[in-house]
Amino acid sequence: MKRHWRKGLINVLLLIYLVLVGIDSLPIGWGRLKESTEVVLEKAGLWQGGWALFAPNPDKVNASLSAGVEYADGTFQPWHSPDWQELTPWQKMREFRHMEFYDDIRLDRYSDAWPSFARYLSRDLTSESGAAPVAVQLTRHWHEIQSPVTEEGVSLFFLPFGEPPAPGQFGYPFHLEEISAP
Amino acid sequence: MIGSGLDIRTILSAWNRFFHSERDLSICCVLRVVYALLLLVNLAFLAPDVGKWFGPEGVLSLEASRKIIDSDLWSLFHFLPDTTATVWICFALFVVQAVLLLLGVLPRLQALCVFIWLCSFQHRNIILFDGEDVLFRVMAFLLIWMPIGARLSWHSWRRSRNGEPPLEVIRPVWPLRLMQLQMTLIYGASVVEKLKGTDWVQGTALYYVSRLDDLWGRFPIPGFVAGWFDSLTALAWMGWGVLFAEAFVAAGLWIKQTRLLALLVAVGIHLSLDYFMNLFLFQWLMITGLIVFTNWRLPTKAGRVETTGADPSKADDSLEPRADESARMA
Repeated sequence: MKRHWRKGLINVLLLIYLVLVGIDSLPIGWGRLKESTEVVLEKAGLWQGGWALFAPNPDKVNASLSAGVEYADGTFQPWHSPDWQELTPWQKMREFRHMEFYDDIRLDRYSDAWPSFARYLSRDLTSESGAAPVAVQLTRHWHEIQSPVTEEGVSLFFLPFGEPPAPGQFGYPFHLEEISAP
Repeated sequence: MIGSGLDIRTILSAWNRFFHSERDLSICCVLRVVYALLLLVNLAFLAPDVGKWFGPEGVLSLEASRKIIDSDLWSLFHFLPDTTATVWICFALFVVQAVLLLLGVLPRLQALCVFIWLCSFQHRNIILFDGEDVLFRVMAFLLIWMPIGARLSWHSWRRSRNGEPPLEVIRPVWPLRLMQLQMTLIYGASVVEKLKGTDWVQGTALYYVSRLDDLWGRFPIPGFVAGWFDSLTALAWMGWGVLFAEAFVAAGLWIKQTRLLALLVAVGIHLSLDYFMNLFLFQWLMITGLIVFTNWRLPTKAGRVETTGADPSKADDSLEPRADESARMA
């Protein structure tokens, strides 16, 4: 009898888990149902949020990040995220988390993280003269990978393989953080 | 009755057969070992920058990190003092518990703790993590329910040394089924997501992927292979091949006649992607997850596939119901 109840309980829990994960991960328009199941999965630490691996369309932007720290004595120190093409396979693996971070923090949905990141840079990049930092400007750079085909055939913008375009085509300062004296 | 002879009893029987038939689950112990090794590699790469990624003086303050995540997500760091020492102590405990999971010391408890640590660190700096980390977290959760300490563990070694019989591995299959369904979900959802866009259907997707400066380009590519990436026709066929292969793997893993081929195709895809692309441990974690579709059984030290307390004839190695069960159902 005890085993029967145990099996029944497992079945109920299995059903609940599978339904919740299915709604969370299957790319079907679940509407408001998805919003309500998200709460449960997030509280349980079991959210998955879909498995869109290079989908529905791959990224078409090579992006990078730069910053400039201005100091009280008027000096300026630049910083730039790594040029990934210059790194060896080992370095790329070692720096993978940096790649993730610098690729994503520039996105508007993480704008609340920009002041914190700018302040980190102001602490990390010290002035040679020892002057205190007064402002940090964050700039994003990107290069759009345009469609390789047009209605007439191969596009003029077809990029040969092996030399990915560096993200210097466009640049845009997206955050200025003023650092007050401690 | 639901139409064409499909009644509720048939559905319940199929459900019970699928989730509650018994089989040798010693493969879960292999899954535990490989998973723990990958987790330790993951932690080793995080270790030099723990303060930078998670500390109060790092790139993302605790306050900012709470602003950029949903309010329903939790982290132990939300309840602990916001100091560098706290972060390092938590990270050290995480490493110790990953090692204990590898060694099989109270492994299900370690899996639970690893799950909590993964939630805590991932939600502390969500910007840092991607799908691979979601899979790390979900796999830790699923390991909690598996008999992962029965073989290749400190417990099994100690029992063997004391002359005690090995722990039971003939168990209801549902924990393994959850892992199998999870892997299928990833492949299946990936295909459906790709079909919702235009680039994979038109055949230009791999053109864009192969021009990304961060993720693409890991090891040297032979000249004749590089030529394929300059041909839009070859790129289109390779892209459609990926779509077809993922769809085939999602379905083929469940059919006895195609399972081996599906496993080979899946492993081939992941190894190729790992050669061409820098996606850290994602491909290796996917290959690890595929272990649950194999029928390997771990022998005990005596070289036998032993069972205790259960009738060995109940062991069901296949993914399908046993013949006698099917006959009974009929």
